[in-house]
Amino acid sequence: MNKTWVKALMSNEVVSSKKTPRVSGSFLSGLKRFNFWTDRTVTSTILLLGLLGVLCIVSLGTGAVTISPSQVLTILSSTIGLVSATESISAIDSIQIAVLLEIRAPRVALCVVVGAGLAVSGATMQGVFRNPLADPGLIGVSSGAALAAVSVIVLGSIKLPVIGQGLEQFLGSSTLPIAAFVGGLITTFVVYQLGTREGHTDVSTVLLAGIAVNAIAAAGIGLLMYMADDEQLRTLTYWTMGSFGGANWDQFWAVGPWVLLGTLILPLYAPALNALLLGDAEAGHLGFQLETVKRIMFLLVAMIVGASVAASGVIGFVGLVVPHLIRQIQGSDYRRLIPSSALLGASLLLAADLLARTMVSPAEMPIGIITAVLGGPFFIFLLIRRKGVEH
Amino acid sequence: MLSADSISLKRGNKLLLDRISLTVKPGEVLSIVGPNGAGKSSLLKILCGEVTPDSGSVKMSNGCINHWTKAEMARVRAVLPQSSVLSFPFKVEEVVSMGRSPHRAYSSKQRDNQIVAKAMALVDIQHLSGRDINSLSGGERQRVHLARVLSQIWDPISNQKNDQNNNQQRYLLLDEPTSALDMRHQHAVFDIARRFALEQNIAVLTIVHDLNLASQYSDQVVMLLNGQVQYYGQTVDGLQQDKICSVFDIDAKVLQPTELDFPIIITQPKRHSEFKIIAALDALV
Repeated sequence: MNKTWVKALMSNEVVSSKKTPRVSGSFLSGLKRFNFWTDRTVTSTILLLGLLGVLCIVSLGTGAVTISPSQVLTILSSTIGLVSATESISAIDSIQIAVLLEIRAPRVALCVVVGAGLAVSGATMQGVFRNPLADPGLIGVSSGAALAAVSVIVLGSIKLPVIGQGLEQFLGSSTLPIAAFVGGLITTFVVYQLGTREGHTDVSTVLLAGIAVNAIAAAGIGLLMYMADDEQLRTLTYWTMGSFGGANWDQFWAVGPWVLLGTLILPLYAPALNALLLGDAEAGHLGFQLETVKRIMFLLVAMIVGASVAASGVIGFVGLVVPHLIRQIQGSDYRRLIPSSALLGASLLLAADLLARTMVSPAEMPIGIITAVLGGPFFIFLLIRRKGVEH
Repeated sequence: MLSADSISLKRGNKLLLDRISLTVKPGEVLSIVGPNGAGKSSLLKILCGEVTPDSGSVKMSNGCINHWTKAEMARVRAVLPQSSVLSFPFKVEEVVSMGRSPHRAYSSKQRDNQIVAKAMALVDIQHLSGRDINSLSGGERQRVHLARVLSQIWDPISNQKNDQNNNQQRYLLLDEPTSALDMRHQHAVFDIARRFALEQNIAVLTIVHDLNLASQYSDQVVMLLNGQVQYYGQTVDGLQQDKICSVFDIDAKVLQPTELDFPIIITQPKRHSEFKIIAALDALV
């Protein structure tokens, strides 16, 4: 390598438009080496897609009414119109069709969207904060949304003055998710403002402000839990620890588009997130409008996580663990990290939800417990492995 | 060209930079030297638009630096800061290819890969391409980032509005690029910088501590002390015994062997008679 270096230095390689044979050789191998979709990436992406597909089918088929994978596929393809309905469906119970299309499908769809959204938000926050321990909840969005939701549950029964009642009548059954969504956005805005001075956002101040605001929100939730009666407490548990128990198509259409929109926009900022990891100054020198990028990132994450909490409550660990896992397999390049995290996040949440609704059937466990039980030890494993690499 | 016109910078009551003017022309290497706290890094930050001076202005290719968009600027100017820390496992090649991101809308993927490979070969890191950057030594990491900034301004970009008949002028700003490097690579880096200047007609500005590197590789030198320019002009005239002694507060001896076109500088601590280097040299010459 000594010689190559001297050669590179001595030849007019920097400027000459004609390449020496050696250079063109390294160019060819370079092309192979720098190919964006390396073999490993392709393989792991296919595996991730496969995993998600299998989990969807298993999830759709599992529950009080069992539906076999082939039946699942038949029902799905006939619904889309791939197979003529009358022939293929005749063998399948109409109850099975109804259960699949009206109960399980919206739940699976919601799980996929929320899982993908949380994982992508986690990856984004880790980039913006340049901190591998960052989590989408760090900017206060989840605790703010949970506080708003819990407030509606506990204080909702108190007769509000005329304006409150009018509002509640107007919003109807969507009061709770809307309150959660708005609560999440407001909290994020407060945290963002606390960390911003003269147009410059200091991420470490945002991080500290987030911790403080999270603590305040947690205190608020604690106070409301103390005030709540038994029935409210049960509902509350599902909000603070997450559940897809109430999923239906209405809920999916109310929440899904927000999460999906954010999840689809974030990958456009992958080069900016990569550059941001080098440092604020470096990203600026690479031509990125830092403050704008940060603002958009916060907004998108608040939108995704706010909508997710509105649909399913607070679900921890997905946003933290999934990007880490992908980094181990595919590296940290955000152009791959974001789409792969989305796939794995969806799969992980589907699996967790499957466990949540089958383990103590016919009752359901809050999904946040499952993700924490799976995610916690796994995270510790990652830390130990990393320690082993460093020493 | 890149020029500063009478820039001053205050922090509180302290005047960090006092009416500094300088110009780097294409094809030229300008070194900024001076003791710690002289204001070198502040000056560089102002020159690259990161910090706005309290008075004075910076011009790049005859346009005020404030009128450039960041994206436009990134395509013709690369800046290498003192140290970049990455807390995530990035591969060396991925870090280097970030240098191409300002060109992503204009350049082909094939060309980008080619440039990344060449830049890595140039700074002698091609054997590290698949490695995690955090597993490298400080010097290797510094070379990775150098390859990144070189790949950023590798190709001339064809012209937009600013000048009519030429390619856009390109700029390379380096903040102590050799601080963690062994001697071979110190020379390699400055050799690359000078070749980039001469052959690609790039204006290079660098902060450097080693006066012999400045002497050997730069056309012009700025000597800074307490935010003031002590000398600005041809390197040969600047690196003189009396100036070095007063700016750096050390004893120095400047030798000019007839076969070299740059002087050699030997230094020793002031007022320490037990260091007899300069006396010994005097006896020798």
